[in-house]
Amino acid sequence: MTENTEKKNPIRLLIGKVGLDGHTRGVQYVAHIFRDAGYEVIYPGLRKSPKQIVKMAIEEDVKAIGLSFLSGAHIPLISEIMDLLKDKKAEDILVFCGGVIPDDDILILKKMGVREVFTPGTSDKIIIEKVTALFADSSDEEK
Amino acid sequence: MKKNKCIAELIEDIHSESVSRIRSAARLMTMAEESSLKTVEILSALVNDSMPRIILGITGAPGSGKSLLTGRLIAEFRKRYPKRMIGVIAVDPSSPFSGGAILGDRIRMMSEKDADNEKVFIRSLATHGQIGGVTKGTRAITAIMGALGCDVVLIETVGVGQMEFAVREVSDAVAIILAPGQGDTIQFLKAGLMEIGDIFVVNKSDRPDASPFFAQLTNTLHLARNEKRPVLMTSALIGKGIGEFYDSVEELLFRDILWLKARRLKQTDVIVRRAILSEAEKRLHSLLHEEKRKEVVSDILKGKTSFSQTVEDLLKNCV
Ligand SMILES: Nc1nc2c(ncn2[C@@H]2O[C@H](COP(=O)(O)OP(=O)(O)OP(=O)(O)O)[C@@H](O)[C@H]2O)c(=O)[nH]1
Ligand SMILES: [Mg+2]
Repeated sequence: MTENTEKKNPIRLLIGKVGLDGHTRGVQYVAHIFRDAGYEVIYPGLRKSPKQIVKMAIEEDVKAIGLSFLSGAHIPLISEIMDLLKDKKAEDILVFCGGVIPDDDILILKKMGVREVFTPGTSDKIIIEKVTALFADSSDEEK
Repeated sequence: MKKNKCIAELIEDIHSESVSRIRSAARLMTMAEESSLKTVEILSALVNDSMPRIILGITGAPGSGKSLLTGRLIAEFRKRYPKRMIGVIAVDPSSPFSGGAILGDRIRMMSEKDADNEKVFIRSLATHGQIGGVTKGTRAITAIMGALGCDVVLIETVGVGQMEFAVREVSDAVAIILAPGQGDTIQFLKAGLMEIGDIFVVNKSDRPDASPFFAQLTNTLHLARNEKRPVLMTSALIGKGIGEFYDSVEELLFRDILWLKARRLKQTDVIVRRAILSEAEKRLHSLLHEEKRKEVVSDILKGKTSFSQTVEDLLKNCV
């Protein structure tokens, strides 16, 4: 890698968990697949509050927040995050999530503005492809 | 928020009372990392803003407790100056394979109490595979933190390769964090850490092997020429020695304000000069694109044109 090859800086994501469940394996795995796909992943650790997640996402200037859920509290937590993003004029930070989420809830989440919901069994490749496509979309809108 | 705000608009927002001022600062930091050109533009746009009062580099062996100790310094600062703001820049290496990175230092830096505190701003950076990558955007990011109102900025870099040298170029003083059980002081000398440190900290003082390590380190340093540099013991785990560490930083930096001013001027000078050269090189590089490069190289090797003639032609064509 030479210093002067013109390279765009990698896209930054925050990959984390909110709420109380403490399972790390899933979310760490996802952080790694994004790193291996060339993303810069902010990994904030477990059990963060929506307020903390949004603060970090803003300070780190991430393009998207990816959240993993096992606990079933995804709807109120995501809804709080969406509201906070709006308050801070940061609605353009995209949100996607993954976990054991029933179909009905997926619809509700999408209505709230969640861009993608990944259920267990989704392949790494699909996750990366779909998330990468989100950024292609959002840069089109600008033009 | 509008997507493509320019540097001036972002800075205006930072100076305002708007809800998006933190966001604008973070955006500007991303721009600072994009190119040397932008770094310099930002530095020059912020030239009348106050820089942070203290810029402390924190480096040392991997796992010696830099992040946890940084967290303790944040808490100490918050206790002493509840109304003031503190900024942290945490630099981690990018993966040489994908160019991606996982940046997780901030986990250890935030106590639950401070985790949603508006007076603490933490920014994680990846090195993007460059030696000295620490310096490219870091100075401008520090300046942005200053404009936001940060009184103190802490810069954590992992002490492998050459990063610990780069951190010197962007901080007022460097604290080297060491821990017992990570090899002896001979290794530490070899790693070149001794030259760059202004303060030495033996962390993990809660461990029984910390005292002998501390003695050995003090000895090693005192055998060398510069004996004035403080050597301290801390435990980031149980929160011991933190106040003393903080005091020694303040003391070191405010002994000689003129010296500090001169040091910062010189650093900025180097950063801008390097940015000019790097931009120039980039432009030359684009003149010498793939096809052209092959042709030029083969002409030189075959003796069709001379090396120095080629260089001169290239520079001429650049204007
Ligand atoms: N016993 C003891 N353990 C500590 C102390 N400080 C840090 N640790 C532990 O050392 C490990 C590394 O701590 P970090 O703060 O992540 O160290 P670091 O130097 O930032 O690590 P890198 O950024 O990965 O180089 C963690 O498991 C900490 O809990 C201390 O004062 N005493
Ligand atoms: Mg660390």
